[in-house]
Amino acid sequence: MNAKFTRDPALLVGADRIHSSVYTDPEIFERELNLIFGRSWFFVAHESEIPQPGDFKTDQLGRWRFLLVRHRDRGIRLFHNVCRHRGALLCHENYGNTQVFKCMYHGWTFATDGSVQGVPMREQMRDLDVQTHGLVPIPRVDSYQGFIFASLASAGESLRDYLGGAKRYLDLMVERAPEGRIVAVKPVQYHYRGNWKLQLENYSDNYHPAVLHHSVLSTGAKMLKEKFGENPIGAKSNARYEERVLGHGHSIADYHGGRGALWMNAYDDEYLQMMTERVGMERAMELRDSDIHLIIYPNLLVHVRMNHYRVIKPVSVDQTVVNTYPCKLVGASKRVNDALISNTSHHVSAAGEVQVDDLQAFNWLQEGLASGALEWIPFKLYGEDEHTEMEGECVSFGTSEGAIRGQYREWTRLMSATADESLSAPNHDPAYRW
Amino acid sequence: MTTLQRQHEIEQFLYHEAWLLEQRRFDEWLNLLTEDILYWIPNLGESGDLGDDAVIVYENFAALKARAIRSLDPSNPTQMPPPRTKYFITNVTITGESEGLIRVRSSMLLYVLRRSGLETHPISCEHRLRSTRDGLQIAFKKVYLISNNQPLSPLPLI
Repeated sequence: MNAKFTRDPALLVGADRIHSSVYTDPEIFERELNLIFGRSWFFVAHESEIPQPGDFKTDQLGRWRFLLVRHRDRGIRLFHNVCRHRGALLCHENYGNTQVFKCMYHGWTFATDGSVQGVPMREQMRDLDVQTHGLVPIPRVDSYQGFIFASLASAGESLRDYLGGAKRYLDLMVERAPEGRIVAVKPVQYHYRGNWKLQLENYSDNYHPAVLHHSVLSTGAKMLKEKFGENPIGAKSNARYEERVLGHGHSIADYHGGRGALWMNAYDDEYLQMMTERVGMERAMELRDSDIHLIIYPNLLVHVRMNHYRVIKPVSVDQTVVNTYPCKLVGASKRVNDALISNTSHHVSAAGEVQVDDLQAFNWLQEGLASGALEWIPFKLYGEDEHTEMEGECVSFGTSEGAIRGQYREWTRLMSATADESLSAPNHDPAYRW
Repeated sequence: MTTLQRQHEIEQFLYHEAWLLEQRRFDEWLNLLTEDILYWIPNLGESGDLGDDAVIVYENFAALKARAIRSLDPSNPTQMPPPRTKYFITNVTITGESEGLIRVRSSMLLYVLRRSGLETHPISCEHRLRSTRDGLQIAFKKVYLISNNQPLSPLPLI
């Protein structure tokens, strides 16, 4: 059974069902690294993480080690975090500021644009062209609203085309700041024993909260009722939960007020006033009240209200790390920003009170799926009034698994054996080297 | 009270706190906290103020009470089954006393046993204790996990 499936991953995904090996087969995981993360755009960082020339950040994703740096010209460069000499990990700090990266094995040094600065005993090297021995760059790096994405493939569609309809939700994320900018705070980090796609699915899954998060909802509701009476969060009873599948695996879930005042403690009158001055009262309230989960395939989750983004980092078929970056709204008061950070921490940190429930579920899923008891996993939940809008966006109302189905359409497209062969092995692409 | 008696009293207090947590007597643990307690698990380093940095936990009494209730709620997925914990406390040092608060530094080795295995968390703890009619109470607790710059799996009430 498995041998047949691994030859053509497209057979592992139907329109509304997924073969369980998609979560558990290490060979499929390797293919995902090569064919999804290896050639699609993936999220790297927000520009505010490295604001000054010389600021750098290192990160890892699967087997890759990245070094993101802001050069003197303020441009952003992304390299493999590997010394061009013998291949040792180059920079060992998560964040910092430097003028030069020095390999601590033989002392080769590199400037923040990746060029070789110094090679000890260079005069004794034969046939070494230092010009071609700079840091290995990631072929394509681009950003939108400060969100930096990269692609390990040297050719392919532009970032803007790839983001498509997701762009307007990144616009929204920054438009909510009184000065139209956000600043990311260094992340809280969690890991779980489970496949990376479980987190992606979970973020667009409105089917689970009433069950899995029952104890949070009941404790929270009880405490709020004690304090504020019935319907303490002011949830709109006529709110229609909207799901919008944006293509390329991207999607949003818009709660449209259905979660009432949840996390609204962060936004005060002063904030609303500042926003009103900028965009008018009506738009200011709209922006303040937004409550949207945005997924940008394959590794970025954005929370428009709690105000954070999360980066999914696959480690192996059953190990995943997720980093959560609370975002400050530039121009808003310290009180507002402290509350935003505190809300995110309370929700998402390893000692938080909501995401940990999901991590427990991921453990259960991975253990159960790895047992091999099930072959096909159904995703057959549909919302109401499903219809297609501009640019092929599929909209529906109420709880649905449409976003998950959308993720697997993109998965199938990228994993398909008939895909462009020139993109299928990024590590052997000649343009990939200097 | 002599220095030795004070040291003994504080050590006994910390052992008692740990015992309550191990025994999952969270209601009794809440009784050890002052109403104005600040409970803080910093992220990425030993300090880092909220606002400049994210936090793992930064909570007041009401939020801790909600946590205690949830930790005993049988419908809480993270408590299926409840993790078993064991605390080892050492290096207890009284570092100062001001504004009615005794500042205490200690080292803690916390073992957490879950279905997925046994985890070890080396921790630096800072307590600020207030002497009340009911004995010592915790007005401030900072739990510095030396692994707080790494991805963490879910933590119990510490």
